[in-house]
Amino acid sequence: MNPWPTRIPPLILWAARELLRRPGRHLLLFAALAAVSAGSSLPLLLTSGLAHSAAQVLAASPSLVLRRVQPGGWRPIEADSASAHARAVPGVLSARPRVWGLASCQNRAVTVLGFDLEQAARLASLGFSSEPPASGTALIGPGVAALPGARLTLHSAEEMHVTVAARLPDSTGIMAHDLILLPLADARRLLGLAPHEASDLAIEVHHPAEELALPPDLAAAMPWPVRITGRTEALAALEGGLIRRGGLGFMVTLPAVLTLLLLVLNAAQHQAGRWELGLLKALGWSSGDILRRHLWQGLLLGLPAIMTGLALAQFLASGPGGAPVAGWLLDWPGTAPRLRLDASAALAPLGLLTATILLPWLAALVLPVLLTAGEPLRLLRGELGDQTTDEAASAPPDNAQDNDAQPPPGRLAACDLSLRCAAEGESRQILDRVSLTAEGGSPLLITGATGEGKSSLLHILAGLHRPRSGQVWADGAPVSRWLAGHRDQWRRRAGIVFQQPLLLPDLSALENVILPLLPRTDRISSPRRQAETALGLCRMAHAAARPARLLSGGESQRVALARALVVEPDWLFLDEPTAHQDADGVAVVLDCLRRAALRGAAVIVVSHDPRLADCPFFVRRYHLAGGRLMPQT
Amino acid sequence: MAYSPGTHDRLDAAARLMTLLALIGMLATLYLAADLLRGRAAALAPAQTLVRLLALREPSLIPSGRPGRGPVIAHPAVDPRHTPLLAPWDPACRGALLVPCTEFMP
Repeated sequence: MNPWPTRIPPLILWAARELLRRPGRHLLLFAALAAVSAGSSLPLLLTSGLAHSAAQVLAASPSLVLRRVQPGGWRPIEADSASAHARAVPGVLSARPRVWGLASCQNRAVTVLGFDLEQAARLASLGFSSEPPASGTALIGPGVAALPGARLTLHSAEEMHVTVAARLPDSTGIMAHDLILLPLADARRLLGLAPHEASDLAIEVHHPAEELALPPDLAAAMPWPVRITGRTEALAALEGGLIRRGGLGFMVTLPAVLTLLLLVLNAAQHQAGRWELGLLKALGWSSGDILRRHLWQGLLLGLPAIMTGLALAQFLASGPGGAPVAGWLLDWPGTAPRLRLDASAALAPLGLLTATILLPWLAALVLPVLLTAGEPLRLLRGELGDQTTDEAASAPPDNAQDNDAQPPPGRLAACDLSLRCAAEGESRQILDRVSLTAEGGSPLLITGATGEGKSSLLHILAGLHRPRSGQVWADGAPVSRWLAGHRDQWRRRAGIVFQQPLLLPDLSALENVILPLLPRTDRISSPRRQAETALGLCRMAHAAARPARLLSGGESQRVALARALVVEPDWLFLDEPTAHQDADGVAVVLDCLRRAALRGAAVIVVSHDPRLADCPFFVRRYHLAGGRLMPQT
Repeated sequence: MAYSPGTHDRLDAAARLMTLLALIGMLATLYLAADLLRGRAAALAPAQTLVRLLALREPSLIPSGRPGRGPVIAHPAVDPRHTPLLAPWDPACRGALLVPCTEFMP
């Protein structure tokens, strides 16, 4: 005994059971969804995280950077005089000359930056090097492939050989990936600067708001043309560039997403099985019930798959696995930058991805349900072998406007039912002003030759179909006037056995019998017991565990009978219930019907089986011929 | 065969599958949440210290036409990585493997 599944709502449990019906396909879908969500989110996560991280780091950078320009390129500045000019501008807090430039090292470009004695001491005290770097030594960024003690050859304005004093930690990679820090004099010599020259000026302002106001004043204070960039401008360029790049990565994976969605849509349409939907509706499932089952099915599979994909993307983006993606997206050489993608940076892309994948996935699952929300009989026609089409299937009955009509007495009453159908281009009157009354506890048999319209009459009586004219009343309610959704609800109190058993072949007999109970109960334990009891009544308990596809014709029919009886219906509709039964089988069927009748159910059987025609069990008998229903004694 | 719950149907297996899927989803969510929330400031602190100390403005994320970096995402107006001392077409510039780019002209 395993009690915990009984606490799960039956519809949700059944959604999981549906996943087990085609485990291979669903495993594939899980993997595809996870792969697509990982592949799509990785570029977005990486670029968004990098932009966010870089922006946080840049918040500590100088407010303004001032460079001297001239036609043809940049020019070095006079360090002392430029600093003095800048500091003279009101609002400037500090102006620090920087010496930096590009050089080639190990056959690629690196950034060379000079530091003064004070900065050298701070670098050592902060742990970036064991002792202040001396002349002829260098601190290198994590992207430069050299170990402490190695010799590096740098080339810019002139060639220089330096010894690596220490490597900057990997955590500085976002700013210092290919940085080479040299003592100021060495940097000037390498870059071809005179001792009094600097590359540009890093300026701090008193208040962030002055970042926008100060550049004109600074430009006016300098004796030569300048170019001044602010932190905001740099941040915007950084984020814009990275997000553009991330969007590009996402666009590359978009076709994969679309392909998957098309596959899913196609799979969902087949998976939904139109006739299975029709069967569920005939068994009393409302469209809402079916929709909920599909949604749960999609969520059960989709959410874990997408979350797994996102977690995988996060692992790759924030760990060493992100290196290939960083290399592809940013042309980042070597080890990927060590970054942590925090919630504020990751939530937007993750939410976007989840919505982009999950919503179409769920839409693809519920779409077939929405498309088949009409008459269940239309979905079942193929399985029932009925090739006719009703000429007035969706139209209301001719006398639908007669709302003041008094309900006739009886558990079930049909008044002047007419039906006209077309088959192979030929229009034919199937039912012509058919009327009947069925009482609870008084079984009713309708006989007639094959093709006379017995099944059509039964379908109309069971609310599966609307008549062209006339009405069906059940306990005084005009069932045939109701919309399909209301009739689905009403059918929860009815049981129906079709001419074909219409069992789901891969489900066990017990599971087939449980089906109509699922939307009517809160716990699965009760339906299990009821289904077992119903199978026992139909002498099918021995085959409860057997898949329906392995049952014989007679056994399938008795399981279908158990499925109709399990809801203890007030109205029981049976179409040729003994067609595949031997004498014992007929006795079993009649015994089941007797029990239902004794309970007060209205039992309506249509059959051309002569064994039933003479059966005293039936209190009323009708014969259908030429579209007219004649009472028989 | 005597009836006992779970012997005639696969609802127990379905419940186990549900639990497994929920577990996978929860573990993935927990990993994601934990990874997003842990040690963010500590990871960036050394880089921030370096930026403050050296007055850096130029993150390594911004490529500047160097080999292996895409110049596409560089913003010419603010990208300072191009050497301020040499014109892009200068032989020394080419010696440093720079990609000539007139957009860097002021």
